[in-house]
Amino acid sequence: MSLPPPEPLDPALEKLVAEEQRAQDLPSGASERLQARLAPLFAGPASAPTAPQAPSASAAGTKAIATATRALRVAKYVAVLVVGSVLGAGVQAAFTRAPPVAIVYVDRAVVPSASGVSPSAIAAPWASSSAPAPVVAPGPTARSAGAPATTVPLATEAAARDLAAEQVGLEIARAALARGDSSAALAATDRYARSFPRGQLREEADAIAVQALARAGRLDEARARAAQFRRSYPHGLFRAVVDQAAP
Amino acid sequence: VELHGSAAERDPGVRARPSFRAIFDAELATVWHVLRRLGVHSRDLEDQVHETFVIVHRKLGDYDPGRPLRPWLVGIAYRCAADYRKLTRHTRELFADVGDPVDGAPSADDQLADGERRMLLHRALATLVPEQREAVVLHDIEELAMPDIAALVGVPLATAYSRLRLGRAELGKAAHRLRLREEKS
Repeated sequence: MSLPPPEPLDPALEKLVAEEQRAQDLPSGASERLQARLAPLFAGPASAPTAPQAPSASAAGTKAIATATRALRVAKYVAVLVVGSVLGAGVQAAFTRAPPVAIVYVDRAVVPSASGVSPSAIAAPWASSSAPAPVVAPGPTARSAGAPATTVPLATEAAARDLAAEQVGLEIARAALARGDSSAALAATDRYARSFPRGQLREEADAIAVQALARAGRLDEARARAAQFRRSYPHGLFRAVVDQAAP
Repeated sequence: VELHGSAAERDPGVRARPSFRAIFDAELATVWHVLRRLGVHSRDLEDQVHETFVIVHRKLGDYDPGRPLRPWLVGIAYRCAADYRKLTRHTRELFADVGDPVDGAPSADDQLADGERRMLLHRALATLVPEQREAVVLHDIEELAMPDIAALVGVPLATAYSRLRLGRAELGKAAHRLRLREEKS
C-alpha cells in the first residue's frame, strides 16, 4: 500500500483544526471526579474494599508488586471458592462474613455464554490493537473446560490483573442503577460484559441488567434474563435481588 | 487544566513503559477531547473517559514503550467511542449538545474568538456522517497515519482516504455555512 499522504488541509480548516488541537480544557471538577473513580487502578488493590494494602503505584516495579499481591489474594479466594462450590448453600454464610470471597464465587459459578454474547463478538472490538490482550489469550473455552487443575492458574492470573479494573468498570452500572437510569445501567452492563468476557463480577452485572430491564418496564426481557440468571447462578448471591426484580 | 503538565509530559512516546498514573495525568485531556470529537455526548463524556482508562489499565501490558503513546491511546479511545455509538445508537445527533454558548450571534468580544472558532469546528464536525467524521478527526486532528486509521477502523486504505477527502469537503462546506449564518444573525 503506497498511497501518498493526503493533501494538506485548506488554510481555513487548518486554522480551526490547529486551535482544536491545542484544547486542554476540562469541565471543572471532571479530573478530580475521574481520579476518584479510577482510584483503585492508581493504587493497585489498596482502595478496593477487599484489599489488604498497597502503596501508590507510581513506578513500574510497584505495579508488579501490586499484581503479585493481587495474585496471592485471588489464589486464596479461589481456594475458598472450591470449598464453597462443594458446600453449596452453606457457603452463603461465609460470604456474608467475607465479602471478597463472594466475588470469586460468582466468578466460578459463571456458565459460558450466560449473557448471550459470543466470545468472538466480545473479542472483536479490541482485537485489532497493537497486540492481543494476554489475559484473554488462553481462549474462551478455558473456563468452561471443567478441569480446575489446569484452568485455575490461568483464571487466577487473569483474575489478579482484572479484578480492580472490573470493579471500576462495573461502578458505572451500579451508579446508574442507583440513580434510576435504566438505559445507562444496561449500556454499562453490556459494556462490562464486552470488556470482561470472563469477568469475575458477571453475576452482579447480570443481576443489574435484570433490575434495569425491570425498572425500564421491559418485563419480558427482564424475566428472560432472570431465567437465564437462575440457570447460570442457581445459588448466586444476587439471586434474591433478581427474584425480587423479575419474579 | 492543572493536570496536564508540560509539553514533554504530554508526549511521552519514549522508552520506559509509563505508569497508569502517569498516563492518566498526562493524557486525561487528550482522551477527553478525542472522545468528544468522535461524538460522545457531553453528558456521557465522563463515563466514557472512565471506561477508556479502565481499558487502558487493562491493556497497558500490551503497549510497546518503543512506540508513541498517543496513537495507542487514541486507538483505545476510538474503540470506546465506536462501542458507545453502537450501544447508544446515537449517530448524528451526538454533537447536538456542543453549541450551548453559541446559540445566537457570536460576540464581538475578541477574547471569545478562539472559543468560537472551536465551537464552529465542533458544530461543523457534528454535521458529518460518523465515518467521515472519524477520518477527519483521526487524521487531521489526532494526526494518526492513514494506514493506522484504516487498520483501526477496519477498512481498506483507499476507503479511509476516500472518507477523509469527502469528510474534509463536507467539513469545509459546513464551516462555511455556519459562519455565514452566524455573521447574518
